[in-house]
Amino acid sequence: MQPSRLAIEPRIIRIGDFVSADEARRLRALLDAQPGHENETGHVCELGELPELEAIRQRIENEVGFKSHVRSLRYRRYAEGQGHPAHVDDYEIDGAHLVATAMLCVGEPEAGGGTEFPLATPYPVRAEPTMGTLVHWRNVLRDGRPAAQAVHRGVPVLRGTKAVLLCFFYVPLVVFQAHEAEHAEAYALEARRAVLPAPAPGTQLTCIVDHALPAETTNLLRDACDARGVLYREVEARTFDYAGERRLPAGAMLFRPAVSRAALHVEEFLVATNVATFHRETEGTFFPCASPLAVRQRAGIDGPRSFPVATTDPTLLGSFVERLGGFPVVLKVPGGEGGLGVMRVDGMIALASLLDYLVRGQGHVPMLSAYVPDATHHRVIVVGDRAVAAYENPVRDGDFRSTPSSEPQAYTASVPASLGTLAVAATHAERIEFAGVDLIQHPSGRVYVLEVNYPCYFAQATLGGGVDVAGPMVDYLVARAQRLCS
Amino acid sequence: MPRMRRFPPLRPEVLALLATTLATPAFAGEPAASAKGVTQPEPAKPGAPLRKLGESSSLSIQGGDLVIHDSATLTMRRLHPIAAAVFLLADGQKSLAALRTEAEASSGLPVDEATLFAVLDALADAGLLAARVTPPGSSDLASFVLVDGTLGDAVVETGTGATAQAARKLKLPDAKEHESAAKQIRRPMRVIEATQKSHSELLGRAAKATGVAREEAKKVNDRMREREMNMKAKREAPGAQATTDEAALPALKQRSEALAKSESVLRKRSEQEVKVQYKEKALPGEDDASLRKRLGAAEEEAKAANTKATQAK
Repeated sequence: MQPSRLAIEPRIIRIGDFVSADEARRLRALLDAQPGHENETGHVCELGELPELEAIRQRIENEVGFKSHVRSLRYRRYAEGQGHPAHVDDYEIDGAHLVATAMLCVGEPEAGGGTEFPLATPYPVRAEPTMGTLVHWRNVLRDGRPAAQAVHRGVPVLRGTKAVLLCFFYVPLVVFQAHEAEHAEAYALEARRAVLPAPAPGTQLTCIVDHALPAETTNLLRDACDARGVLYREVEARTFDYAGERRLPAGAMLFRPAVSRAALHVEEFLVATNVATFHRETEGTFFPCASPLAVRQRAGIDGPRSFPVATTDPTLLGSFVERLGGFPVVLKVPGGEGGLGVMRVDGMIALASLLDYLVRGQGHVPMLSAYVPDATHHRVIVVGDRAVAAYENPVRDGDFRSTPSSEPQAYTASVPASLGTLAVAATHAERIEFAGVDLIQHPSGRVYVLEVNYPCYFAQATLGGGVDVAGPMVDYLVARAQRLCS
Repeated sequence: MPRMRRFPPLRPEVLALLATTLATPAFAGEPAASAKGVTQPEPAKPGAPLRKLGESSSLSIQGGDLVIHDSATLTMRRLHPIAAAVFLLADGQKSLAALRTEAEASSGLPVDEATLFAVLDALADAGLLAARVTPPGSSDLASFVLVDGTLGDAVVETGTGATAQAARKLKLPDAKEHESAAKQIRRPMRVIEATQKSHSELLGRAAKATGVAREEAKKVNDRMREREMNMKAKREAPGAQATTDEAALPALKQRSEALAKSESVLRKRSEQEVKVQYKEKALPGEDDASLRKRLGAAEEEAKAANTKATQAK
């Protein structure tokens, strides 16, 4: 089969039926017989001078166009659930750099096991492990610098076994540069002729991350993508390349679990028409809800009665407190997480002095809310039209604020309708399709919406109680991307 | 255009409830209960709403709505049918679930949990409950669509006393600001008004003068008409004959006009000639004033010379 170029940068070439299925099977039998060892990524065997491999090595070298200065062949076998984390092949032996890698598939899994290049341009690439197929790529740019776009990962095998023969090309950089210069015209022509269609709708998820984002959040999302055959691509907000990146194509999926300002800007840069996000409208990315309380109130969503306070006038404050049902009341300064900035105030002296500091001293406009005593605190996670998880947040000892339960039985995927319906309505009122909704339930049965958090730490439901949230999230985005492009 | 806010009328069931309620002493704080000699109500159960009516309050049905009038605060509250039913049913004994079911049955309107809590909030805010059952929420009944599609608050308040006073108090800074702005506008307005006044005075005076002039003109006309009449009477008198002069009057008049015209033409021509001669006497670059001065002086000299000459003769 003719070689086909899969990306502009790095130069990724795929050649189907590079060897026949029979030849591949024979190769695998030979390689399986070699002594190897197991590590966290599967079975590994460093192949020495095997005369039976000389012919295939020669063929691969001819195809790639280099003669490696160091002979390096490796056999890898991945069982179900095994994959290879994202990395760049960056190594040097005796002044020779690992400039290119070739991978020949000699064992095709039933599902999963592709090799992803999430930063390849113009679109991320997934090379499926098809029997007898050779894929090779450059690890360095033409000028000899490491190619960041060459980062790749082996998607875990879902069913069956994946087996590959890897051939590493170690070449001195000067030799490589000379080779690239010599073939520059041919490669440019090859790039121009390459057919690189935009990915099909709902096949690629771009996730905007930053240093503060917990690793489990992205791990769960990546696993959910792998399980669904969706290419997962992470974009680091702080090092985002505004000069080199471009808006996502229609049908792509975008999610920003990071909350930093930098992450917000990246999201605004990447989003485009018909890109599936958790905002109800594309423009929602640019217009986050500025007054969630007022929006929910207009939608008839019940929450504790609240007033924004920008005064220290005792008469006005007195009337506010009376309207809130009297002391205690709750004072909340926006911006905090985990209950930070939420204060219970039991009397007028405390309220006046606190507001003096917050309003006059700091320029805040805190919310003064009715206090709901003896309440049960819940977090409900909403995806689309469904409440997919709920768990109790018990009140801390000696405090009125709550934290997620450490009891697995407090977590459920079967969310009670009294909580779920309200949580979904509150989420939709804020024009979003995914949120962690904080609810409190009074002993009378009255349920109040405290907050609608977007994005939210959904990993808690999975880690604390084994309830899958990332899966429904990816499913929702896939369905939405397909709907947008249908 | 704002939607008309109208309550559906109270159903007979609620009116019956009102009659029953009025006959029982369940009002918290109702002073008449003991005076009427009826037994005191049971103490309210925890979590069961209990209605409250102040000493100065009275109930009535107005325009199909339940209305609570407070003579002390001069406040009138018109209750939504659901609010009316909940208020009348809130005897401090019924659970929230029972209250909801009974309110739904008697009002004939759907009363879900959210509606019930919103109504209870509204009643508590209006001081119509002995105590709040739950902390107040943020939603209001205006968000709920009723059976007939109208929107309405749980309690409508029309204040003439305290409310108006509070409104004035709240509006005070605004009012001051507006007053200052009004002053700024008033100053130039005064100037404009003064100008307008003087203009109208002038116009009045002019109109008056016009009137006087018209009167004068009328008098002159009348006199002329009288004279003509007299002359006509003389002419038409028996034996009177037209004189030669009178017969020749039109021809004479025509001739006189022609002479006057030719005289005028001659005078104009003569004036022009004088002007030309005058101009001819001017020195190069000499203006009219200097010319007039110089000629005047020359004339004086000539006169003096003539006088001397006459004396010498």
